[in-house]
Parts: sequence; C-alpha cells; structure tokens
Amino acid sequence: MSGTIDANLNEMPADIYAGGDGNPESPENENDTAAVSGETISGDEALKFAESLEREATENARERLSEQEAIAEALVFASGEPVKIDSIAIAINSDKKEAYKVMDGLVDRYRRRAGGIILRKIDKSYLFCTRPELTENLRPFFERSTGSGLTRAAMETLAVICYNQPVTRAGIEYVRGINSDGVLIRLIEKGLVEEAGRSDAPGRPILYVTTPKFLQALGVESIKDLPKVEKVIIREPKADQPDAPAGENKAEDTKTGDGATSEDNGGSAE
Amino acid sequence: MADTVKFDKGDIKMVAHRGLSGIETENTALAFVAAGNRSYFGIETDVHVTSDGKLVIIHDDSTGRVANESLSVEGSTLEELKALKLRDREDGAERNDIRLPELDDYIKICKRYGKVCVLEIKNLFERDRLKDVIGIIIERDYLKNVIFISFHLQNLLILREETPKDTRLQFLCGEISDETIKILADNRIDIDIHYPTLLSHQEYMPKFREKGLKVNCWTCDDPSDALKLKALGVDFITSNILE
Repeated sequence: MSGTIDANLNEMPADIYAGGDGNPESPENENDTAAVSGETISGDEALKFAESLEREATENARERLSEQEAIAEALVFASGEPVKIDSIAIAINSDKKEAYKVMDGLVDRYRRRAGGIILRKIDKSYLFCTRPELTENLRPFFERSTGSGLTRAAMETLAVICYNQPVTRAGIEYVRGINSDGVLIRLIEKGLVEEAGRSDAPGRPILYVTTPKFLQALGVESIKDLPKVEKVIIREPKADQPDAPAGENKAEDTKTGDGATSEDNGGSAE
Repeated sequence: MADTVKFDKGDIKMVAHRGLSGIETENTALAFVAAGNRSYFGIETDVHVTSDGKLVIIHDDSTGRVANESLSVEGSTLEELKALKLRDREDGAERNDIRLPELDDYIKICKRYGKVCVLEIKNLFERDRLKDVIGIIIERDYLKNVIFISFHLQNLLILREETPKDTRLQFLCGEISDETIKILADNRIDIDIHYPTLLSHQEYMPKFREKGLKVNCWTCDDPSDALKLKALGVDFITSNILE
C-alpha cells in the first residue's frame, strides 16, 4: 500500500501498532500496552503528577541558556580579560541595551548557581572570576600572584585617587602631604590609574582616575560599591601656584601612614 | 538525486520526522508526500494553536527558521501564518508553493497515502483545543490511525480521557523515573524517548518491557546507531532520513 497514491483505507490496520510499514498483517492484543501492576494511578492523581512534571520542566527550561547568552558566555570566557559591552553587543548582534540585559541575566545565573566561578560586571565590561569566598582555598596554588605588589605609599595614593577622582597630582599631594610623582607613575604603569583630561584650574593640570583594572582587583562593579569614607576636601592650588609642588602641603583630617618612601620620590614600587 | 538512507530495519516501524524532512522542507505537504511515497510506517508532525484558535502545522514557536519573516505562531492568526512563503530546504529560496499546512491538510495526506499519523501536541493545550484536534481527525475518520505524542503528560492524560481506550499515546522524554514509567503504564501511554539517552541508559528497556510499553525513539539519522537501537529491541525509530 505504501508508495501508492490510491491506497485503500480499508487496508489500514485494526491496530496500528502491528506491522512495519503502515500495512500490518495482524492486530495485537490491545492489553499488551501498559500492563498494570500494583495500585493504578490515573485520573486526577495522574494529572497532578503531570503538573509536577510540568513545573519541573519549566524550571529546567529556565536554566537553559539562549543562543545569545551562550555566545556572550563563550566570548567572555575565551577573552580571559574584561570584555566591553560594545564587543558583546556586536557578538550577539544586538544593541547595548539588549546586551546588558543578556549579561545581567548571565551574572544572575552564575550568582544563583553558587559555584566556584562568577561572572562579574566591572564598569562597562564583564569578566569571569573565581568566587571571592574561595580565595583562601586557592591561595596555596597561586601564592605569587595573589599579593597586591603595592607599597604602602602606592596603596595610600590609590585610596586618595579612588575617593577623590578625578583628581590632580597637586590634589593627591595635598592629601598625602608629600610629593607623589614616583608613586603615580608606578600606578599608571600598573594600569590601576589613568589620565582623564585636564582640570579647569589654573595651569590646566592633568586629572587622574582609577581604571576598570583597579575595580577588577578590588572585586567591585563600580566606585560606588566601595566603603564610604568621610569626604576629604581638596583645595585646588592658587593661581600663582599651578600644580603646586609637593611636600609643602599638609594633609588635614587624613590618615597618611607613616611618611614618605623612596617610591614617593620616584623610587621603585616593587 | 536526494534519497533516503536505507538500513536493515527488520521489524522496526520507521517514522518520518516532520515528514521526510531530510529531503523536503520540514512539516510541509511536500515532506509529507515524500514520506507517503516511501515505506514509512508513520509520518510525524507538530501542531500548534494560532491566536484565532486554529490548528497549524509547524515545529517552532515562531516562523523564523522556515520563513523569511519571523512571526509568533500563537500570536498570529492562521491567515497571517498561511500567507508566509516557506523557504526551500536546499537553497533557502522563498517558494510560492510551500506554505504552513493546517492539521486537516496533514491528516488528509496521511490518509491518502495510508500512513499512520504521529502527531505531536507541541505545547500545553487546553482541553477544548485537544477536543478540536480530535474532532478534525474524527471528521476524516482517522482516529484509529493516529499516535498522539507530547512532552506534556497532561496533554496525553486528557487525550486518554477524551478518546476511545485503544487510542495510542506516546510520552516524549529523555531520562525518565520509575514513577513516571509506572504512571505511563497505568494510563496506557507508551514511550517516545531521546535515542542517545536510551543508548546510554539501556537499563530502561527491561523496565519498559516489564510494563508492556512500546518504545519509539527520536531522532536517529545514523545507521550504526539505528542498528544499536534495533539490537535493543525498540519498536519504532523516528528519523529525518533513515528508511
């Protein structure tokens, strides 16, 4: 019968499970399917069970990644460094708004998963990191790379920039009370600080800000996530003192550590 | 010339997945007729409800994979969906002569070619929509030649209540618990299992057999895997291209 257009429907099987090509020779016993053993579950009870399966399937479906999420996840994983939202938007063929939506969903998935890896948003970029709570477990295996490599002077300077950015060199020195040329250069070299235009103050001094790498090192998404401290009011230099020399200003209401180091004057930060 | 891939199927009943979708655009009259003209036991397809309550044949929830325009199936009327020209399977070119079929078109083709309908109820259907499906099939006097399949056990349990007791039902699944197997058996619902899952969980087969469940598996296009399934003793294989 198969393969002919004018198949006679009377040839169709009494039991469609019999035979192999739609033209069975003999029907099977209708009781062959689903032999029942023990207490039978049917009707409302079976429907309740089906509903529980449905809920489970819905949960599982929520866990599956969309194609866009999968692409974005692969891109960030393969990059090994913060990936800007612009690149992610291009990769998933969408605009930045949609890309943020996809990435925020992924961040949430990794958070809820509570595994060893998290997806972290750093400024306008995303990066895979290990979960901070596991640092002590990992430390023995990565001893060399876990240290900050920063001197007390560098940490102090970073803190000043972090909480006052954008800030001029003179502003930094005003708070620290000491020349900070050397330490500033080292922080720029390490990629923790960068220039961000010029101030309108006399002499148009360069402004400094922290970088996404700094946020990454601290494990925060933005400067707003850092602990709050009392604001230090920085007085900009007077007109006849453009980008004032350091060492003459004194910090007010600011804990500056225990004084200058060789790095403050241009020495090594290592 | 495009053709199916033959293998020594023995007593296994072969089901053409979405029609003969290895050769023609899936779930179209072309694919159903191509399967109808071959030795397949059954022709599998997928049915959705449109926004105006009609029944249309398509696999996905939207039309983007088979047509140039992407419409939500449940969010569009049957007329809007049928206006779409589908793409050719080979070159992707839009074709005037292939459109989304209605459920009745599919039943009519299966009946004309004497093939069993293997009809997947795609999403969770309301009881009244399932009654609509049954009504269309009864109108063609073809209910005895239909196997209903679904990933949603609720659909199958409602179909069990709304159809004669000898109506054939199969539950689409991957991994499956003993509890689910028992409930399927209690409600005379057979198995349609993801075939790699069955190959990696061969312990399922004796459980299915103990409960008297028939076993269909989806979707195997590899002849060597098909022979493994044959050795396991499955009753049906659903395939895009194997015959």
